[in-house]
Amino acid sequence: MAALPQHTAARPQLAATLAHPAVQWFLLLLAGLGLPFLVYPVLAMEMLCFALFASAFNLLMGYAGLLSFGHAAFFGTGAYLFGYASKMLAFGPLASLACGTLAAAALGVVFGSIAIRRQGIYFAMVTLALAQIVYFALVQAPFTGGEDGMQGIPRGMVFGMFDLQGEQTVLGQTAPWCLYLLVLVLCLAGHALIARLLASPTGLALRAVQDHEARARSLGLQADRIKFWVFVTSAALAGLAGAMKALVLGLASLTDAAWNMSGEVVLMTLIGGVGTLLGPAVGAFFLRYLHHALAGLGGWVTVLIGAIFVICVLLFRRGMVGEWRAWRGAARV
Amino acid sequence: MSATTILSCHQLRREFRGFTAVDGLDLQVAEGTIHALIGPNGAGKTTVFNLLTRFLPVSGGSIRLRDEDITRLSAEQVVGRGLVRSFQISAVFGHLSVLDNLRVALLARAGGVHRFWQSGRALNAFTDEAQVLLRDFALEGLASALAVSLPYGRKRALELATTLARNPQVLLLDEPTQGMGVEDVARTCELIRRAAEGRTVLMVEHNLNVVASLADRITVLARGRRLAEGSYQEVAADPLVREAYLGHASEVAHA
Repeated sequence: MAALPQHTAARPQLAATLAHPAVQWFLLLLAGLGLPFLVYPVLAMEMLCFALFASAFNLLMGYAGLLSFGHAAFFGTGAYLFGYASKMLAFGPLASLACGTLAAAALGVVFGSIAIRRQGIYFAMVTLALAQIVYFALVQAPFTGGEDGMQGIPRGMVFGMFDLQGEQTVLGQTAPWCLYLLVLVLCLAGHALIARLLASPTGLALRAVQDHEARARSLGLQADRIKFWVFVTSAALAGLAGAMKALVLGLASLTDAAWNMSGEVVLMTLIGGVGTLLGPAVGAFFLRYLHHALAGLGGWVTVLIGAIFVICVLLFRRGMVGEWRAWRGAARV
Repeated sequence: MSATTILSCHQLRREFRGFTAVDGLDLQVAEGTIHALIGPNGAGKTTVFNLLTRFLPVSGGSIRLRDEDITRLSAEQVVGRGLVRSFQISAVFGHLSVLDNLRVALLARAGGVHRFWQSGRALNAFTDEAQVLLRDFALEGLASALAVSLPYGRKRALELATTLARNPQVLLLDEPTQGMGVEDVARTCELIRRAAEGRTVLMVEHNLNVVASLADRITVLARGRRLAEGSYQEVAADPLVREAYLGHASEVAHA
């Protein structure tokens, strides 16, 4: 090991620079700005919404060890309440996004109070049951449009200056850039919030609780309280993701709140890598792109995604990002 | 022996679906002593621990810590009042570093767990105190190792260090030397002796050598009841104890 060639000395320096959080966030922002040049802009925005949704879910599953099977309720509530605020109450887009997020957070408080003391499969079942109640409430509610969903939700203007509806041309690419920037910034802000939370003292306590709950309690860590607030945070971010999706598509539909959506987010997280910061986003990008690229196959897409999931669970348990990390870790030794 | 009782229970009872694991137990632990709880398997020792530390709800009776009735408090609340336990199976946070195992305990003691808005740098405030504990328990070279990678004896040392990081007044140790080799047992005894300075210790222990060398007072449990209590010599001489717990009188004589 002592006789390494001289020119490799530059590499640790580069690696150190790349490891700096500020640099990493900047690179992510650049990658995000480049995305509409690679894929259809609306698909790019949809990917970002799902990336935030999956990361919110992963905050709960990967770091609190709680498998929620009802996260669609928060996503759907965010979408519908955004639509309600924007269309019926004529709120601006930011206020409407806040409405969707807060409504999902409030729902998270309700779900959390009921479910948080349950463990493992019971937690999953309770959240699923509660999410079904929300689903049927959305089917029946007067403002949701029932089976048709809520259509034609206006995008509006931000600060009276930035038109989210109109398209602009940047570097030869015509897209709703204002809308795109808003979605990208909110998606990154959501991820930054999660990263910051996990690095905080509460994040350390959360890891301890997930690692050995009885031991954590014996040291005086209030496990249920910590898990409850992580649950509410996760619900709020899932609601923000749903609200952003309704903003992008101008539509809130029952599929947003259906149990398939709860399953989809589990898939995204597992395929991307549960318990990794970027894994769920990668999984969300991958699956949304697959849906789009293979749309011509119709129902076979579901079969194909099912097969990918099975392969993933059998062979790559750590998910894409998890396996890549493990491989890099092994290569370093 | 000091006269003040720091931890006590009165007519403590716990039933599991018709099976009475603890059956009207009275126990007084005097301040500043090392008190051992012994008894054959199934005597209810660990259940008593779980009741005292509020990990299990009681079916009857009361528990007092100093002047306060703690029978209805939560497990987290009694920790705040100075009653901290360890576990029978070595309980460390395996996926945290050794340093973070200690820092999370110190964080809990400082009441900083809910400061979600602070950055990770806030944890550095606990590093110095954690390092002192690491040195005391001969773990200083392992600070950045994941706890799961430690050998068994070191894990138990880390567990004890973490428990002490909460600075308990009453320390409850559930079989601290279980599964250890002779050398680790001797080392652990020394650690417990040091940890007991200025504290009260209640321990469940199977190893009678450990009990004989450490405990000021011993309570023998059988079928959820108190069978005998006293110093090691008194308890060992008790014919009831010989019969119910030790079986072979020779074991006591040579212990």
